[in-house]
Amino acid sequence: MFMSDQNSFKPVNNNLRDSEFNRYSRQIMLNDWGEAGQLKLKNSRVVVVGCGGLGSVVASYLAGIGVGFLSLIDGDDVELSNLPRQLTFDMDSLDLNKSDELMQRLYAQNDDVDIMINPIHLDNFNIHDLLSDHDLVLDCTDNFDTRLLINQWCVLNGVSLMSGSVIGWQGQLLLVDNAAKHGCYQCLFGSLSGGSSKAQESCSTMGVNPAMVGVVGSYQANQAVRYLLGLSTPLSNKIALVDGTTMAVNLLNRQVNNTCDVCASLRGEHH
Amino acid sequence: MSDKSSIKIMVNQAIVMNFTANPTTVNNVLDELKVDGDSMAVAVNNDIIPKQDWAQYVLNDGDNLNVFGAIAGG
Repeated sequence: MFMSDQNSFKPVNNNLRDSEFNRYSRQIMLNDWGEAGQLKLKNSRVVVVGCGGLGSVVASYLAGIGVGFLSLIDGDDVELSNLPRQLTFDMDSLDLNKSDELMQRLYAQNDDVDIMINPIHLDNFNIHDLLSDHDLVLDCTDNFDTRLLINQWCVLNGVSLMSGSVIGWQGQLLLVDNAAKHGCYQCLFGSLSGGSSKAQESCSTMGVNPAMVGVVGSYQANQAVRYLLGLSTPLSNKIALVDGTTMAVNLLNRQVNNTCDVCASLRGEHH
Repeated sequence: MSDKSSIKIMVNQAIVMNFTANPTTVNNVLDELKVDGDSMAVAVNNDIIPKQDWAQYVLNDGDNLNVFGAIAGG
């Protein structure tokens, strides 16, 4: 595996092999998918940030579906308390890096997919190298600081971001692909990092129903595939609130927040 | 029974609240709920209202509010 420069990184596949027609037959037969859609997926490059609960679900579906290139980023090792909801891992995975373990699992599932792993934590210094040259960034991380960093990078670099998050019995999903029109993650919640008590909330501190991770991760994969196929997704201008207690999904219309300092750059302002 | 000048606001499809303040704003509801607006989002009738507008955004009888916080787990 290699990462080549921006001008040549996308070798285009123009056809599917017989084995691919066979493997993907149940999805190709969908009217809005077809051979053309499958080729789009084969030529798509997706990066999954965070290979825990959401990331392992999302990546499993995208690899199974035949997305051509997946980059997996996670610096954490598998812990015993991950196993109830991170179903790609087992007892033999304990203390091993999540992105590496997930890659092994995905290759066993579908070795047609190219997978790159980065067994490190994403930060301000490596984010450009890790996220550049992808069609879609999937935020499956577990803390606000990284979420805000990814959001900022994606908005400033014009790369589409699908954010998924889950805690307790609740999930949230949104797609940031036109921040100038519909706003970004920070437009919704502000810059909730630093000393905010919220900044410390994650599955490890707040708890989570393992099955909700599957629900939200499946929604995230479902909408990511629609985006990659060029099909409509309500998440491009809405946030979905998924309530695991009532089975309700509320879709709320987003808008630009004129005080958002990430989107200010799109308006030509400097903060 | 509510008096004529009060309005009913539904919050998160679960709580009906009565307000007599005229006008009643988003911030009035959050104050009543004792919700700290930090890291929270609010939608009125399914439209997200930017935080800087909460103090001025006037609610009407029967409005539906969604009040929710950012969640980070993955």
